[in-house]
Amino acid sequence: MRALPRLASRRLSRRQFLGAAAGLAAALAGCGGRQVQEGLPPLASQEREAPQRGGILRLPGYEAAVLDTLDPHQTQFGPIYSSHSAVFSKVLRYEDPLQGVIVTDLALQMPEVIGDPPLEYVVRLRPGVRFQRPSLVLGRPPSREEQAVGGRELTAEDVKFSFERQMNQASPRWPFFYRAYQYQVIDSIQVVDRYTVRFRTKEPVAPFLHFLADTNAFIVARELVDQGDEMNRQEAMIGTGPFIWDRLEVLQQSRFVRNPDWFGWDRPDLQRPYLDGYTSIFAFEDAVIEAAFREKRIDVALYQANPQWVVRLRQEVPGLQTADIALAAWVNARLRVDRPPFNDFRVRRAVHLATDRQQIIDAIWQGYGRLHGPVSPLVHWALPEEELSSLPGYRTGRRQREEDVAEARRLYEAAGRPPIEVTFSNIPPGLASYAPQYKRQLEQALGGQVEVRVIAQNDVTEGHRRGTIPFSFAFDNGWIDLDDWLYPYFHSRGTKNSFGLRDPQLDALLDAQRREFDRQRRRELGWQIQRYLLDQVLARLDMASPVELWVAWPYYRGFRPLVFFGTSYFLADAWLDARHPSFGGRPEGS
Amino acid sequence: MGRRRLRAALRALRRKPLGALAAAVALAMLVGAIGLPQPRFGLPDLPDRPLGFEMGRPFLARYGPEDFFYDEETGRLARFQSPSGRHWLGTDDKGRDVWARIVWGTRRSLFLALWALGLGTVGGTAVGIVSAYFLGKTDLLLQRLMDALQAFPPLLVLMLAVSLVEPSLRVLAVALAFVSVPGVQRVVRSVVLSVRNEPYVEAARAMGASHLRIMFRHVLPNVTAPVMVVFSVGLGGAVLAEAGLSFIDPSTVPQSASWGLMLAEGRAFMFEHPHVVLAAGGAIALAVMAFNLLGDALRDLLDPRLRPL
Repeated sequence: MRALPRLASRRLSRRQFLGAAAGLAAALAGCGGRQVQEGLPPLASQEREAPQRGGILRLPGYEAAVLDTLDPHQTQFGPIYSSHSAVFSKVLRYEDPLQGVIVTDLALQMPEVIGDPPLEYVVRLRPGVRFQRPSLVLGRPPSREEQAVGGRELTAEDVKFSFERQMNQASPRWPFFYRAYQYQVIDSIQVVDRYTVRFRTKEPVAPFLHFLADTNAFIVARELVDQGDEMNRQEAMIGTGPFIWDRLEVLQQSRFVRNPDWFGWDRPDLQRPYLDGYTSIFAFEDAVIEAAFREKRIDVALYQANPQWVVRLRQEVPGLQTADIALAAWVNARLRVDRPPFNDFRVRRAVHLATDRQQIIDAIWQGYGRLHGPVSPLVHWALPEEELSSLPGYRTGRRQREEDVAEARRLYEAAGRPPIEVTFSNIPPGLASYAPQYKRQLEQALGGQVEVRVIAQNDVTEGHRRGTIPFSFAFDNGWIDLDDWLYPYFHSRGTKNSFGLRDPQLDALLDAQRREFDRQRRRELGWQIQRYLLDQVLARLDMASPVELWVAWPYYRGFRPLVFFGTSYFLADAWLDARHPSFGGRPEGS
Repeated sequence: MGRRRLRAALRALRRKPLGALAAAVALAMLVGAIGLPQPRFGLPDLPDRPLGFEMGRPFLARYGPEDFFYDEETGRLARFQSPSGRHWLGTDDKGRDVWARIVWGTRRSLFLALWALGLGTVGGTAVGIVSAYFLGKTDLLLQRLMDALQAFPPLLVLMLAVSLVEPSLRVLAVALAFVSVPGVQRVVRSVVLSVRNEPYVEAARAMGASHLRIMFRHVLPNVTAPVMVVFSVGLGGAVLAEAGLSFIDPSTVPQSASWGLMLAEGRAFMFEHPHVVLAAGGAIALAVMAFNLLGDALRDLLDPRLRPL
């Protein structure tokens, strides 16, 4: 941005011109659609220098937007998972979500697995884990909630309560426990002693350890849940995680401070978190984010609508830490398969084939995106990319697109050319502004009448729950395990089955992947399910996910792009290197 | 008679060249924004059925507002193409023709403004006449109500309106009309205050004419000139308000081609591809300036105090 006036104000020499042209060529090469090099910087644990304590990390994020509820067991909104993951602990956690590596969190060691196939899991908890005491850190009087639970040791009873709460069908909040479908496999939870809890499942469940590490698996104190089975209050956000939730200023910022009593996983001697805290600043304007990053008012940045400023910045400021990686979140369309017009498979397939997914990537993310099947290409459960990109609906070659569109039109006409209404979510803004273009694209491809409307994300979520939206187009969080990607959406009992889908054959396949403990065979079962979904079901039309271009100042050590929502506990490893030359000029304050 | 009017018009043109230019721009916008009427009738709606019948493609638009174009070589969306014979103002981030969106946006802005100011002017004129004609408690009550309405920033009222009900251009037009009422009625009231004591009004009253008849037949014709000026200047304000609302919070307004939306969407790319925001900003500036200059010229021509002796 600053280079433009300088260039404009003086004449360029031939050498300067050639240099600029080379730079431009490099920039163009660097922004060519999906040609980005994906990768992650090294983990903090791989760094050699001794971390320094102190400082407030500032990063852009959506944590200050609360779209549904603060209740850790009831929210479906990714950024809230992120806040919860810094404040609350789970029995297990993901150390590497991309590779699916699960390690201990509250558990002292990985659960003892009993039976072949396994039916029992014995979890031994770390002793001495205590609930946070925000008043001691924040210097304000303790709330009623803190008085009830602050400083109390976390025990096996808390673990039992946290899971049984989400299994309780008598709860007035039962429909909002979205992880209930996972915990329905639990037969009993037995407290063996103060630090030992035994889970018994009704049948062998391959992803059970994942269930203990997943979003919403947070361990909360019974005292924080009110009589209506809710803990949708800022004061109730007291957990045992590395950070204490200091303040939530809606649509402005969310502040977290270091929990000095945190148990520190397997290395309490490291005295983590190294940071005094972190602040998630709600910012979705590229210009605002760029300016804040340049002035070091934020320590890490990523684009929102225009990736070019990140590309330019990387060239202007050598030495920045970078990472180009797809987000787990993705855009999808959900169809009601039990009502006209989408109860006719031909209409669903017509929409599937007519949708130009590459156009979605180009129009919403300026070419920085990846095609997305029923499972994210980020995780190893996904259909191989070469297979996906060769399937009708995903093919991008011109002749193949023409074939897909011709087939879409044929199917649509055979189904009687029913009118189609698409409901778009207003979040993120780029999606809403794409709505009229999608309408045009479908109309052109199908030769029929298409209407679009844009409504609030909350209303989309509620519409899914009530089953009132025949065709929605929205963003979803993205998941880690195969089960999360498929079971809740497509099983007849799935809590996210907003499609009205009841398919015994699919149910059987989904149940089968849960019983398969061999990772490779489970993966192949996953592929079988995905092929079945694409061939026979087409209830959820998966579109694409954005590829984020991250930049971080070199002084931000332990930088890890938060690819999945709900992994903010990684910030326990982050630290600010005040000795690094790039730290100069960083403004003080939080 | 016709010749006399023509001469008067030519005289006005010579006296007010800027006003004439503004009128030409406004006329060009109107002509460019309308299209061949289609044989589809229904309740008036915005942006494509402002008068109760469907309007076809605007005469000046070569493509639809959401028509997108592919790059012949890559087969991908032809995003941010430079101005060319095919795309006079280039293409935007979604591969759409910027000129087409400007023209379709003209229809939205212009008819929204006409609707809003039409409703607002009728309402404001009625309130102004009643208030000044009856004076006393009626005047006191109506004026305090207007003061209260004016205390709310117009943009806030607009945002409130579109967030309370499902956003539509009709709602936006009504909300804009609502916020324009106090300004219109204030001007009308000041004129009626002087008119109500004129001998011809007294005479009508003495002859036993009803209040309604006096207001319609004797007062209203005398406030027409200032109302025309307020209407013309107000059009610019309405165009600006619609663009402002679309710019500030695009998600609250219907997603048809709009200058404000173009600005909002284009600003993220304004340093690399300035043509989109320049086109949208230029259209807004031109429209607002044209309506303001037209209003000024009308005031000069219609106000006897400003006529040269």
